[in-house]
Amino acid sequence: LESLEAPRSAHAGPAADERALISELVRRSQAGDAEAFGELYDRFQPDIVRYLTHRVRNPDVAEDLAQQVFLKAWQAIPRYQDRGAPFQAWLYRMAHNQMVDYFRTNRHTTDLEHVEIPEEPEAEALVLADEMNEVLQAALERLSDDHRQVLVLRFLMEKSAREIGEIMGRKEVTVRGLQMRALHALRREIESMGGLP
Amino acid sequence: VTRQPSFDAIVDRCLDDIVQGRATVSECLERWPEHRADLAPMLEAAVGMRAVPRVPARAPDPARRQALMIQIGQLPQDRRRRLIPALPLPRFGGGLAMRLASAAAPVAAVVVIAALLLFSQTATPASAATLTLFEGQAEVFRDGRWQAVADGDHIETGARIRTVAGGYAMLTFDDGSTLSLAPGTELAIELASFREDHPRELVVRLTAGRIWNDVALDLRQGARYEVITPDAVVRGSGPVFETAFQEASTVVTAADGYVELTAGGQSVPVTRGELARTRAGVIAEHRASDVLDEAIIVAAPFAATLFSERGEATGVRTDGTVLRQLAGVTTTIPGPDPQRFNLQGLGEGSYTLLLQRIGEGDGEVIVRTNGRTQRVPVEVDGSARLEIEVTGETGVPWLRLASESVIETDPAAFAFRIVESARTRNAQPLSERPAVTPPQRPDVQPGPRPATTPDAAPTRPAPTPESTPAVDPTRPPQEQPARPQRATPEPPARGLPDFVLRIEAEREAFRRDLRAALASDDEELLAATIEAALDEDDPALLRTRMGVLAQFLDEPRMVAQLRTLFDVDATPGRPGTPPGLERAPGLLNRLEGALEQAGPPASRGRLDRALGPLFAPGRQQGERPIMPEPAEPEEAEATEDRGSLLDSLR
Repeated sequence: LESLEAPRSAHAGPAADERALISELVRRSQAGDAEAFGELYDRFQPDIVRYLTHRVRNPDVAEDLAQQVFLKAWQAIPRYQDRGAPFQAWLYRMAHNQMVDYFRTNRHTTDLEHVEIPEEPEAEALVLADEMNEVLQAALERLSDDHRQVLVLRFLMEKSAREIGEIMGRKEVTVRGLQMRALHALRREIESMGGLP
Repeated sequence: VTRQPSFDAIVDRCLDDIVQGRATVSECLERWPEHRADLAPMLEAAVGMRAVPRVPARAPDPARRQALMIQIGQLPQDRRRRLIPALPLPRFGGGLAMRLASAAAPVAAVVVIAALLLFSQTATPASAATLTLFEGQAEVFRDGRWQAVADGDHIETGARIRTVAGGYAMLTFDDGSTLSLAPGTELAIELASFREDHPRELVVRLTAGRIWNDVALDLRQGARYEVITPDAVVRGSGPVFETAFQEASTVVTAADGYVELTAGGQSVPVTRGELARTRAGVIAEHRASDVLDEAIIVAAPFAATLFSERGEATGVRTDGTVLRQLAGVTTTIPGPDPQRFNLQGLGEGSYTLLLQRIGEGDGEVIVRTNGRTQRVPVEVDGSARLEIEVTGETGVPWLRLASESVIETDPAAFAFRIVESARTRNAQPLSERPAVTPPQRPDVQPGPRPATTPDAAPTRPAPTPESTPAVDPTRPPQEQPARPQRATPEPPARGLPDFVLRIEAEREAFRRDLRAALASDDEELLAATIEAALDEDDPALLRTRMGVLAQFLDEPRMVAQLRTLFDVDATPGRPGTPPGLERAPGLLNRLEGALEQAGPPASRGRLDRALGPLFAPGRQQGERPIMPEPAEPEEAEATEDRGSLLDSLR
């Protein structure tokens, strides 16, 4: 129980330094310092691309959307205000909005060829993983946007409930409830498709 | 009292453990047996999520990062509007209405200004270029996917565009710069800014394929035209060049002017007729290009345009509009000098040369290919056309006349596809330009049908009394007659890289000197001018002058004078002595030396080809040139040099 409630400050030192550094980069970017913004790009672009790739399932599209996200972030950063959530949460929200726009104007593409599948030693395992992936992706597609987002962040981006809360702008406890409902919904969808292979 | 964690906290903890690999589903269920029934389906679903392949985190692509930095450099940030401080409002004694009005006025003014600012920002250039689609398809990446675009569509800054297989397209920018895309080309317009009060800024990122860049000249300080490839940057401010990125290598070929190729921290200037190539991110090759380098000269009072089968056109309309749509071709504007098409890398295929009359009289079309000259008389009342083919039958593309004579034609049958730009708006009607000089043909007899004709002997003009004495190699340098002094070249304008300014100034100065010498009919002056030009240590400048010389050697009048100067026709085939050497001793050696020093020069191939017929008047294609024989031991080395030059003329 102690471990459940333990404060997440084991690495408060380096984390605080990192946060201070990012705050400084944000402040300089707000003042129009492109180099500082470039450093923010270096830090956060890979994660934003990963997130978008999981959502749009096409690495090229994800890269382009991420580029748009950072262009918009550059324009909007003077209006960014630190309200306690980390800066990347702001970027994730912009990425999410960008992705919503993308899906609004495009049909879903399920170009599985673009998604890298980890190499397995045996072909059979690879085929099985591929089939499971297809079922899961199809099930994820049927979920609501909130459910899908929380599952992607939790399991594919390996974010904690607290981090997800910051990204989604919700309380941690709300995210916990949301992820439970999302998992239930995912299971229902999988079962409706005949279960996992 | 033990506080029982909430169920969602238990789920979260289990999920953490499973995601981090600290526990399995079974272990979690054993840890919370009272929640087993509720936990199991969720945890199994969570485990299922692990089958979804992870996307590895990768550092940002440097090219994308650079693109972003360029874009944000031009993108204004959205600044929060400042609140208006409280103003000490005057009291007019007019009561509340007046006070409200006086308070509202500045607020209204601020709102109007803010609105203007807002609209002026949103109105920043949406359209960077206009697309002309000649054949096949082109697509633009918009809203996260590739979408087909049509002829005449506007392409915005930041857009990615590609030609799919078989697609031939061209982008015309507002300043008139054009960019032709070969099939299978993909690029992005990173930056496009054309303002009257600001130098042109155009940055294109080429990720695959081949583009032909025809850049409108902008000599203002800070003017930019850049093509960024994954491993190099090509910069130019007013030239014509081709950039290709294929098989992880950037290849730049300059057709006119100069560009700078930078890769791996190294830069090289690439001048007309040169090629530079990168490999593994560094400049690995810089040499004369081996593409077709031929010419079509319209020595007749006609405005000519060369059309491809796809409808691309390069040439001049009678209203002065210049079209630059064919990759591999540049054109001059008819004026005192005949209109000339320089062909460098024109693709194989059939082409039609449309001739539209702009003056009185007849003339001819001269086609120079592989060192041979074909002449077609133009004796029609109205407009005419000439069919030309570029073939690759021998492995090297070359021109072939598909029709033996010009055919009268209706120009209305030809569609000029023109996109309005600064270049078209500023076009000067040909009727307002100096007239085309009547063709001078001292060295050819016009025939009824085109034929390959060796240049005939001209009459030798008498030297003028005040002409500069010839250089005598037997006298020491201090006793040599003074060489013509060229005026210090004036840089044309600021705004170009220094090396371009210097080379362009030299090029113009030498061209001017050479033209003056040519016009004077003074053979010694001409020889001295050429000698003086060769007295240069800087390979880039030497290449430039050789290029100009080669260009002039395409002019029949120049060839005629040089042939006279070198006594080519007075000493045909005299064994042992290259013709003309006794009149201009050392010139040939100097040419050879200059060729070696400048090498591998872009102009060498052209100069060699141009000198071939000059020094071998009776030689036909395939025959060996006149070869010198070493006679005196002390001259053996020089003679060997001459021999190697002449050898190269074969």
